[in-house]
Amino acid sequence: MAAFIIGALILVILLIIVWYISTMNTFKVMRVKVDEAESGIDVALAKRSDVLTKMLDTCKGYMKHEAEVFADVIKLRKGMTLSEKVKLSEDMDALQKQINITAEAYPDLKSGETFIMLQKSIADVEEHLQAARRAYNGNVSKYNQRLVVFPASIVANACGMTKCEFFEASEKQREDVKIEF
Amino acid sequence: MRGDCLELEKELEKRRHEALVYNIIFIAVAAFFVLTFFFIGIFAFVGIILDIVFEIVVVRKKVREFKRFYKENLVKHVLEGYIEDLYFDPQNGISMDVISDTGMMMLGNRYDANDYISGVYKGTFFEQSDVLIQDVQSSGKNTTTVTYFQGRWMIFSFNKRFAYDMQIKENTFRYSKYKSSLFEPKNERFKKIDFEDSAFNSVFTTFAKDEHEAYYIVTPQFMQHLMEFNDMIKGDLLLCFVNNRLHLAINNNKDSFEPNVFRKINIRNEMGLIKEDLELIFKFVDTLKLDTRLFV
Repeated sequence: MAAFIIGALILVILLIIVWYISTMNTFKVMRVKVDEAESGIDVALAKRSDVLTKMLDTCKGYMKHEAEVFADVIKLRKGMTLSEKVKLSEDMDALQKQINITAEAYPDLKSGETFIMLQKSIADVEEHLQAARRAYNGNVSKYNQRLVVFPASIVANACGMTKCEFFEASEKQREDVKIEF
Repeated sequence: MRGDCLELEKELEKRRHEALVYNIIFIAVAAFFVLTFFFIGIFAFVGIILDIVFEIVVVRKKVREFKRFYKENLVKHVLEGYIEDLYFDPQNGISMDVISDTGMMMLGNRYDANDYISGVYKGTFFEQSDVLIQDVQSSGKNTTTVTYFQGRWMIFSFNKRFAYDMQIKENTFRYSKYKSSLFEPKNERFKKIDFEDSAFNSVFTTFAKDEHEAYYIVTPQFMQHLMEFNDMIKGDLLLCFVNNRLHLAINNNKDSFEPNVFRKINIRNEMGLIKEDLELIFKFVDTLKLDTRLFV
C-alpha cells in the first residue's frame, strides 16, 4: 500500500514537472512570436520611413522648413522601445498629413509622376504597417491572456514573466490618414 | 433590337417546346408500360427498356440542343452587355488541374465543369465556371457517390500582391484541405490564424503560411465585407489565395445559367434569371472592393 502511495506521488510529481516545463516552453514560444511580430513592425516602420524620406526629398522645394524638422524625426533607430516606435509612427502620420496638405496646395507637385508613384507606395506600406501592428497585438493578446489564466499564471509568476505592451494608436493616430490619389 | 429579341424568343420557345414534347412522350410511354406491367408482362419490360433507350438517344439530345442554343444565344447576349473582353464556352469549364494546383480542395475521382466565362468587370479580370466534384466508390453491388463540391468556382485577379498561399473557409465547407503535415517543410505548412474579430472567427477559419501576409490581406474591412457577402448569398464559401489570384468556391448545389424545359420562355424573365446568376460575380467584386487598386 505504501509503495502504491509513493508510486502515485512520484507519478503526480513527474506530471507536475512535465506540465511546468511544457507551460514554460509554451510561454517562451509565445514570447518569441511576440518578438517576431515586433520585428515585423520594425520592418514596416523602416519601409515607411524610407518612402517618406523619398517623398520629403520630392517635396523639399515646397516645404523647406518642415523637411528639415521631419528629416531626422522619422528615422527608425536601433534599440527603440515600443512606446518610442508608437511615437515614431505618430510622427510619420503627421509628416504624411503635412505632405498631403502641401500636395493639395501645389497641383504640379501632386500630378508629378514620382510623387504619384510614392503615394501609391506609401498606401501599400501603410497597409503592411497596419498588418504588422495587428499581428503583433494579436500575439500580445494571446500571450497576455495565457499569462493571467490559472494555473498557467503560477508558472508565469514563478518565471517572472510579465505582460507585453500593446502597440496602441493614440487618439491622434486613430484619425485616419487620408491619402488622396 | 426588340425584333431580334422577339425572333430569339420564338426560336427558343420552339426548341423548348420540341424538347418538352419528347419529354412528355417519354414520361407517358413509361407510365403506360408501368401501369400495364401486370397485363402484358414481358412486353411492358421490353417497352420500358426501349423507352429508356429513346430517352438517352433522342430526348437528351433534344434537351442538350435546346440548352446549347439558349446559352450560345441568350446567355452570351446578356453576358456581352456586362462583361468586357468576354470569352464564353458553355461546353467547357475551369480545368481540374487549376483547382488541383491550389492544393486546397479534395478532388475525388469524378470531375465535370461547364459554362466557362472569362472577362473583365470594373477592371478586375475573372474566370468562372460551374464545377461538380464527386467521389464514386463501388464495392460489389453498392455504389456510393459523395459530392465534394457542386457550385461556382471563380478566380479573380487580386488587388494586393502576396507571396504565400492562404485559405479562408467557411466552417460549414467540408471538403477543403491544406498542407499541415509535419513532413512538409516548415515554410510550406499552414497555420491557423485567429483574427481580432471573434464574429469572423466563428464563421470562417483561416489557414496561412505567413502570419504577416494573412493580416495584410485580411484587413478589418475585408473581414466585414466578406461577412456581408456571406450574408447575401446561399452556399458555403472557400477562398484560396494562390499565386496572386483569389479563388472563390461557392458550394451551393446549383448549376447556373441553365434553362428549364418545363418553364415557358419569356425573354425578359430569362434575362433576369441569367443576370441573377451573373450578379454573384459582380456582388463579390463590389462587396470585397476588388476593383480598388491600392498598389499597382
